[in-house]
Amino acid sequence: MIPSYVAGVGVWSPLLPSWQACRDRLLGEAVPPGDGKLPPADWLPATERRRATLSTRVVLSVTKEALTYAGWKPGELPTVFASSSGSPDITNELCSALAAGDTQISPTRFHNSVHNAAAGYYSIAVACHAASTTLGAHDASAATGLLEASVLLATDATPALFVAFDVPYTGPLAVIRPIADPFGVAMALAPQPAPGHIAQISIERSARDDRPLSVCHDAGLEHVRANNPSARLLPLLEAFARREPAQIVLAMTGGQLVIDVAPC
Amino acid sequence: MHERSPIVVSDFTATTAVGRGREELLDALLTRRGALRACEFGPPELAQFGRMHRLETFVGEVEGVDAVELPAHLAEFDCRNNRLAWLGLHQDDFLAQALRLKEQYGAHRVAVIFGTSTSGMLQAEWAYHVRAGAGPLPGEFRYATTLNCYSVAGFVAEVVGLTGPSYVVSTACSSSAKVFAAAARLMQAGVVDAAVVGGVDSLCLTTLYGFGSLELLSPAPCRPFAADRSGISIGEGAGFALLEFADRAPQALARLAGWGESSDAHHMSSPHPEGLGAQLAMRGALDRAGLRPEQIGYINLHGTATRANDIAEGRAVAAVFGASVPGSSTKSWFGHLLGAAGIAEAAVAMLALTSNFAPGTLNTEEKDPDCPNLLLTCNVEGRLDYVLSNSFGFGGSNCSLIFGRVT
Repeated sequence: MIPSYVAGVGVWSPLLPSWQACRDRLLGEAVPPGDGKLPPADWLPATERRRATLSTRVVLSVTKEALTYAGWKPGELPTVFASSSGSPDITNELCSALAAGDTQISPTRFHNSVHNAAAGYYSIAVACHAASTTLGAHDASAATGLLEASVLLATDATPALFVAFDVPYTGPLAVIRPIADPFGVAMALAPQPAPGHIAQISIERSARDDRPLSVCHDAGLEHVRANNPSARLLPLLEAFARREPAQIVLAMTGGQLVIDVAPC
Repeated sequence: MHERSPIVVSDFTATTAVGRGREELLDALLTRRGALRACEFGPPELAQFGRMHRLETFVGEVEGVDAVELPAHLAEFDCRNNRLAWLGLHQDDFLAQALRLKEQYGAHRVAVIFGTSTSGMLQAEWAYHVRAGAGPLPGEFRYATTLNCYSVAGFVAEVVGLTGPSYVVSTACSSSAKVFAAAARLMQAGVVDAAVVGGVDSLCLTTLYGFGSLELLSPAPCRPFAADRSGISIGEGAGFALLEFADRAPQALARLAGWGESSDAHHMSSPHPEGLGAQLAMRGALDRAGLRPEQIGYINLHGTATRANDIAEGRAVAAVFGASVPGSSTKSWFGHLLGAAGIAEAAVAMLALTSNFAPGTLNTEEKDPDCPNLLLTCNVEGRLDYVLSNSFGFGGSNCSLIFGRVT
């Protein structure tokens, strides 16, 4: 088991525009519908702000919230980003343009197409020079990212910021790979406990794949969970919100990720 | 965290434009035979449009990728990137060694971590061409096993039959350097006992025309660090390595002595002018390896041959190493492999270590005096104890790896 401590959480989706809103909704409380608009990416210089994709803006929203909650400065904090498809809207734009014979690819669109674009914008926004990785494992991306971040904490004895995000494809790819709504979550993870932490999590990657996977109790949230790879983390967020011990099971590419949650 | 014996590379292979497998790569390096050719890219995927993509640049295209036929049970993975992976996986008896890992440690105790930048993008480009501007994508298009960035890791896990954690690191041109660090951490944390790592990136229109729009494509074979350099040559390739703890590995070709990772936090597609992030990555790797700069015998530079990149890297290398540690960029042999650059150049660095020579940069006659690093322009023989390989990418993602001689 690899332990870590959750010092802060950030969440954004049209339904759940903050960790506060997400927590209330997970506890069954009425949450006023948000306007579906992302907060302005005011961390970024104006030039970069204009170029930022939807994925990047979701990432900036959730990272800012998690760091503010934790009271951490981004400084030299290593980051782990997980996403199934990065900026899928850009993939559609590139393929559509090329199919139309337009080979003059916009330089901004081109650099926004890399899987680590959101991570790059984040590092510029907060002037962080620390190690950063961006990984993908299809539907298991978020669980894999949490494993990678936990392992980083364990081996390098460092706090880290873990981010999972996925936004919908546009164009014909949206039919083949349906992702319902944007969803992003960030967790400030510490290797040692401290007052004010949300929960302790202990993760273990298991070779077994026959445990029932964790789901959301709320039907609306279960729909969100099932239709966005990053929202697979909602049951973990539910355990944080309930402040009760829980065991969360997430699918991995081989086996499962078993997460024991204890409130702090 | 387990205090364990050192992590070693027990086998590796690389397939690039210069040839298939280690021997052909080594031969090309020793005989200074590059393989960049005028760009005439017309894979069968795009053939029905009757168009050969001739760009005013040179590329490192791997011969025979189109002719690769995947076995029927792997048909859903069929795309240029996985055909290239299949080709690369079958060199140097690598597949047998990967299967040995499965037997020795158990399928679930071996991680599969790969780097790629564009994955099966050519397949999506093909599907959009077929669609011709309207309607659904063709029914034969497989998303998860070709376009999704996880594709190649899933493919290798399936081919070898491994069930450990498998994923793709996709941080542009540092991707398949960072897989070494990710795998080493999983091993040190006790999550797995061994790992198959690597990187595969294949030519596609997005990268050819994308770098074209950035005006970074060289009209001639690239000349890294040359005063008259004129941009990059794009290449494709597949590389693989096996990582194990030294005390359990039956053989070792090199020791993974250290790694350093950093972010530029400067610009999405241009390096920090002083190579600040690059310095942090190289210093991080030295610190982790417990080495002084002068203990490095050879640096395989990222050396893309753009004006800005080479100056930034040259300054960064000089800041960390002074002008006494020799380095070269081997992109002038097979091009810039993007997401596969890290593994291919790690393979070059390990060949230098095991074959006692440092390759000199090909095509570069007059070095740019504005790049203050020590650049090799001809091969030099001599024993090397430690080599360092740099990989830097879009988004300001940097990774440096250090490999040590196995004594």
